Amino acid sequence: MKRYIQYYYMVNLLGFKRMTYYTKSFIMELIADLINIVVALLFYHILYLNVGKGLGIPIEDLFILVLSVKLTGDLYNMLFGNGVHSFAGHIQYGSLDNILIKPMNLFFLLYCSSLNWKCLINLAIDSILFVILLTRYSVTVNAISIFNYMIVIGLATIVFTAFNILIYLGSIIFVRLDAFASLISSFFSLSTYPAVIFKTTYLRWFFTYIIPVIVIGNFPLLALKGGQSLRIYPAVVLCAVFFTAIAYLATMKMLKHYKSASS
Amino acid sequence: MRNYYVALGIQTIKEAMAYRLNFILSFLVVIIPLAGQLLLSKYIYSMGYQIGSWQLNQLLAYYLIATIASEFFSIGTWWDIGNDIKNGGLSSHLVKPYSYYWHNFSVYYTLRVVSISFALMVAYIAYVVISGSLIPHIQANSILQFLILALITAPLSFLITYSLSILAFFFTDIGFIMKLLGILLPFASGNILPLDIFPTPIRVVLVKLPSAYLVYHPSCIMSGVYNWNEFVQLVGEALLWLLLFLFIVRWLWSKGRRSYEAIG
Repeated sequence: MKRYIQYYYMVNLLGFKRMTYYTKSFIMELIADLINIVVALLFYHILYLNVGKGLGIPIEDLFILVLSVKLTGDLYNMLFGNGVHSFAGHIQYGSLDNILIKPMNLFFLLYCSSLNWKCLINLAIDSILFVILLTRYSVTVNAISIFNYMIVIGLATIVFTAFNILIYLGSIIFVRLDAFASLISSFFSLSTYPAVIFKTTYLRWFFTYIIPVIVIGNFPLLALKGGQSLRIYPAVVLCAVFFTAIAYLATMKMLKHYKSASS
Repeated sequence: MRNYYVALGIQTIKEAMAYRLNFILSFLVVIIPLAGQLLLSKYIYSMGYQIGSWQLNQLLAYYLIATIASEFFSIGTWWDIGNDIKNGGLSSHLVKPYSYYWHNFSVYYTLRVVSISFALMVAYIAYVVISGSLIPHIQANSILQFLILALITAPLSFLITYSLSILAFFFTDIGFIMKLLGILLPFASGNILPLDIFPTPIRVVLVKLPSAYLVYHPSCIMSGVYNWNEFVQLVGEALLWLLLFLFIVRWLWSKGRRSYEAIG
């Protein structure tokens, strides 16, 4: 365990130094992220001005939904995104060998060892936006609902990570994975929509257990709001366990097909 | 020289076809966000509400056209140009007897024409599935207006792309511009919401920006919103943007050429 902590510390210390060297790029990306969230919130604000209750849920809930999706995305990008996204590159250029020969757990080395420092700032911004939102719209929350919310956000991040791992594992089969990854990722653009737009049970089931779009935004919202949300906990735990197990087994199995010759 | 551009176009198609699956999948990407917009709109109307002055069928057709228009008239940074400038590859083009501008125009629009045919199919399927109607409500007049405007907006979108790409003469990393455009453009161009439902101060600015002439106005035209008088005014404004970007491109190119050192 000590070895892993040391490795994690060293790798991410170097990552931090690299980030401070490219300050301009860091600030630019931060600005882009801020604009992104403002645009997403503005989208619902404008719709709300036009149709009010026609959106099915109150405007503050829609804002919480958007922020929850961003929070999940930022947590994923901070803890796992670097590793998961670089997997395709390792396969394409044959550089996976450098990881395979290290005497450590492959899953850890591949996906969990690299921290994205920029997202730490994003998380701080998300928290500030949450506080502004909760006070501006007088949303009633208590310690338990916030605790539940954090748990569901954590599980949603695990689901999102495992799902992304499964997508990027495709790079062992496909030479060019970018369009395939974009296609599957584009489903997650639906996560900022309220679940009520998926009218049929089949659609809701599909977007919970096959492509877990509803788990990312709508489940955390339900956890924060309490009420009829007890049903979500078994579903989100089931998704987290199922997707993580599949991602782990698939990684180990697919790596057996890796031939170290690039694609 | 015309033969060169035709051959280049054919070569571009062959190159794209080498990665067929990747190419086809990239068109399917447009269907998912479109499906989200259509589902949300249908839900709002099923609750008895209306978005702006748009009837449901009109709005669904708007989103369909906006998706296609944003594919065809897309703007951003063209990776090839940025890379040529950054790595010194531009030199090999400059010594050859063709225009670098038209060379890239051929490649860019060959890919667009191929992609639009796929985008049309994909968007039409999404429309039929969500709306339940086989024929979008589009009038012949609207198609004529759209084609006239397309003659201006197609070169305009390329001029904007070209001018953004040759910023690589002055900046080491133009990737940020692409990222920012990817966030702002769908919103500012009317791709995710028709601009006329925006609050007045934002709307009056956005409808006059070039991005609106690439997606919002063409989509409104196809939805039959403009009469001929309004259309003529629109064409005049689009021409002004075209001239402005023509000037900007010439200015940036001549300034960039002077600073280009051919060593990457």
